[in-house]
Amino acid sequence: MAAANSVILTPNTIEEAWQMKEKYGRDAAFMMGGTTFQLQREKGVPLPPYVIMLKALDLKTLQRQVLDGKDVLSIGADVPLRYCMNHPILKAYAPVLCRAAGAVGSPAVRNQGTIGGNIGYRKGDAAASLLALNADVHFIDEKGEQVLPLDQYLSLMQEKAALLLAVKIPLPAPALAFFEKVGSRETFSPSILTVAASADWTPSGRLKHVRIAVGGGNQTPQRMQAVESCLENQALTNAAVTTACDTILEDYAPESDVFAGAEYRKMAAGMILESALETWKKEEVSNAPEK
Amino acid sequence: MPLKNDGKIRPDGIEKVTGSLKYLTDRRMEGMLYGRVLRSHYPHALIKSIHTKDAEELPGVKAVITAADVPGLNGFGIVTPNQPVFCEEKVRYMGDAVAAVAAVSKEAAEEALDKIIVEYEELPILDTMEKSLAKEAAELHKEGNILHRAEQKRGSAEEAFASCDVVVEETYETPRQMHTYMETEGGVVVPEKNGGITVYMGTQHGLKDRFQLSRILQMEEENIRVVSSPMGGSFGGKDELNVQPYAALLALKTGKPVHIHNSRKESVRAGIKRHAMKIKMKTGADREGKLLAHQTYIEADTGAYATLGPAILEFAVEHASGPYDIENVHTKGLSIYTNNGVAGEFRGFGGNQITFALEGQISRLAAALNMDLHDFQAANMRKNESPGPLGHRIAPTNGGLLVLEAAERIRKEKEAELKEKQPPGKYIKRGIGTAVTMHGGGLGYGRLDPSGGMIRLNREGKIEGVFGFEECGQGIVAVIENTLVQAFECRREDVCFLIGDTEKVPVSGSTTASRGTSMVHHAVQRLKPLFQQQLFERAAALLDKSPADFYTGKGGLYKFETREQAITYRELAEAFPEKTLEVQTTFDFPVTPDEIDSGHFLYTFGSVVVEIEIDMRLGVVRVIDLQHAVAAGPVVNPKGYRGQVEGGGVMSIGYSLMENAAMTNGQYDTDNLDTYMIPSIQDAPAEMKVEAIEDLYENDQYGPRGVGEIGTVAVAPAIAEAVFQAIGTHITSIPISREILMKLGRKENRYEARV
Repeated sequence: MAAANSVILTPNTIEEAWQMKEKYGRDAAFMMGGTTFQLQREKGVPLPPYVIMLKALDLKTLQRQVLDGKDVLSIGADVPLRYCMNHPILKAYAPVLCRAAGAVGSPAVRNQGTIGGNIGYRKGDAAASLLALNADVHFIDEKGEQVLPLDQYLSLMQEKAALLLAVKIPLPAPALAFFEKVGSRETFSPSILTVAASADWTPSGRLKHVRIAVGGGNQTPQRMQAVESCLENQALTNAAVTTACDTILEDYAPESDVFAGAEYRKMAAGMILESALETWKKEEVSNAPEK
Repeated sequence: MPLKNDGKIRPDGIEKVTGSLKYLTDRRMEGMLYGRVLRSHYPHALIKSIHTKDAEELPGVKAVITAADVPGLNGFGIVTPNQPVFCEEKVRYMGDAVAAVAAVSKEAAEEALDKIIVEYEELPILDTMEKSLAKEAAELHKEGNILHRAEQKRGSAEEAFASCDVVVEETYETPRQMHTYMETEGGVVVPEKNGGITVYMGTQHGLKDRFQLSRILQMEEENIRVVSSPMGGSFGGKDELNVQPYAALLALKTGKPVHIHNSRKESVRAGIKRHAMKIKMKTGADREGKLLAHQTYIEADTGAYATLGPAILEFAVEHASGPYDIENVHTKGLSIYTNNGVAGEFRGFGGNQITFALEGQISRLAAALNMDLHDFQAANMRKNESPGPLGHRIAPTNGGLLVLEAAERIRKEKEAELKEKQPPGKYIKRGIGTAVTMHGGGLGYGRLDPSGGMIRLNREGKIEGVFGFEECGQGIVAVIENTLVQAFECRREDVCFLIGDTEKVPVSGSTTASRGTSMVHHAVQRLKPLFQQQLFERAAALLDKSPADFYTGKGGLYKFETREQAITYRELAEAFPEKTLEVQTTFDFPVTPDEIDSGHFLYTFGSVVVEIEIDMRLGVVRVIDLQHAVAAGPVVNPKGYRGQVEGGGVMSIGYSLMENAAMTNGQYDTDNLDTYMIPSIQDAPAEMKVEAIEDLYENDQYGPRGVGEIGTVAVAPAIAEAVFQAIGTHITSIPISREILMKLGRKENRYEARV
């Protein structure tokens, strides 16, 4: 029905893809794996008049590279989530991203869906973990090719069009990393809540570079900066954990939907953070001789 | 002993697993048109006018029909046909049909729906039972807003409470559950040369559909052929008519085959659901733990129309005291019309809701008496010859005690296992819960419940079982095959079956109420001697022997004298090509001799043992293990038995933990499977065990009972009990609220961590 009325465009280069978007503006949308479009079609949202399929662009590279003297993991926007879930390089350097990718949809969705689509969707499970991993994104917009931190990119995308090319995760990855998704069932569920966190230890056993991101429901994953600052340069005492959990209750403002109420999401975010910090505390104890 | 895999493949197994099986909705025919139904825009409104002209003029549109095009009764409903085929003056729920179109493509049909202009005048929406019962509420039907009242009274519960040492009182709530069959409603209706039609659409009772369609179409039943198997699931949801009338009317109007297949969204919107119920119970016992009095008040949200709402309420009323001997019982129930989705037939038939409440009461009383739950249940369990739950005579049975003891044994084993397990993490609580139930089979006293079947030696020399049952995935075809193989001691390749075609099958009654297996058994037991006698007489004539010289076996008849094969079945068939060898029987489902409306006679018993883990951070309950013990007589088809009980169990994990077709202002909150969640494979325990208690009580002549429903009934109360065992809190509603569990967890963890 809707598909029959849409023109499918298949650019061969990034430039061509971007020109098509500039030409048709709001009447055109980029498509990677198409899983989000399928979800929307089932909801009765028609496809836009022009669909720009990005499959012919070569955005499938996943590699560790040195870029401007910086060591990064680069993941092409068209890399399927299934690869992210199982890839040995990611498993070694960014296991939280593997976990997040594995939490998306079902095996069929992960075969088809891509990391770029998951970010472009703005509600994907992977985005929260990438925020925690301090990822940058490489994209093209009206100003040309650019690299920006993911959180800036997510807010920029609200305003104007952009074509995501790759995600760049700086290495070494944080020593501490955490990801958890709460769905309505064990798998193949929209996320009620997604919490991702990362940090490093200072030599004196305090946290540094704390990054905490929360997403879920209809909301784009966002960093919880107030929570991050109350943990920054803190040892993981009971008091610090309590303060952080109380802060997330104040700082995080989720919405209610058919899956869960805002109150539940808030409390669950607090509980997940508490359990994540406790896991870190245990790691600290078990790694104590190294410090 | 848990049931083992017998290694046999069900007759439809390979086709289903490989996806090669063609369902009725897969049918395509030359010149076929696509039908679509226009459903109401409002949950409750007056129809001021319907304009179809613009739709009719669209290219590709072949017919647009409304109430004016219904030649016969503009209504359907198995018992009370009060659901309009097309609404004329008033709509009562979002699934109400207003018009239908047939067009050359799905797209044209879809576009035509948009062009039909219906003017409505909105009415206040009665979206809760409270609103429907309010004095000022508008009347949804001529008879008011109460579809049905049912009551059962034995002794005097009200007086007996005075002599109870402990009384517990609670209100339980259960959700509207969706059947969620993989194949949504639909198929093709073909107009025939004689003016009649052939309906290729799934149903649980082809002959009943034929009757209902004849009433709507004003057409002789003989001119309507209903082909209704196989189906991609039903669970009660396709028992009532759904889109058959629309495809039939459109096919007759256009003279072309018309295909209708509900989208999932349309299926959610128009299809029936399990009744949401609110059940208030007050139950009392003496100090020694004897149940003395039990009072129940049920409110069932039956939605806009009747279908089998009254029977479901009566089933719930009947099973309110379950398998327990209680002298003083008073149960009242109301089935209440609302502007919500129509509630009706669903696996368990009112038993699931009432058992959740009853077992909740039993657990609360045991706790209040400081008694072990099992000991309390055992002390009150019905005796072998106790009357049924309506005080009526039933087939004597010790099934209740047997499943209770099995559950207790399994529970103790699990408890020992848990002690060996690693202690759970800080936020995890573990619990084991049990529950027990009894479940009536057949339609019950006072309801026409005929059955029957036919066995013939067909032209290919196969022993063919012919039944009016339907295959909806439950495995009736394997039951027929196994029953014939056992009866004639022959090979699987010696038998075949024919079902699901009103032109070719005898009356067997509906494929509902756990009756199929039982009725196939009864029919074959009656037909076996008649059929064998005819086989033997033929062989005797051909071989110049006496009929008494033969017995049936693998591939043909054997001689007693030499134990050698005398003649094959094929040879017997080929010897008399003109004379079909065929025997037929009709009989009724066994009923109680006592005149008591809806009372059942044959009951199945089930117990459930469940191990759960609760993540107290999130209030998430995970079912780690689910085991059933079922007393339903001899197992006819081990794989089917296990599949039914395990599948029912997982369906009820959904019912207990996540499924709720909730409605706001008469509209479904969850309109598709991206929001209505059913258990995934990862929500089901990795391994489930089913223990079949096959021994029947002494002198029981009634053979195997069906197990289509029993696996669904006691799962929710077992999970609720496991929650109680894990955290000491009794829950009152399902699906179990994560928020409630989480709040309990927060309190406790704060305490443990920081004081």
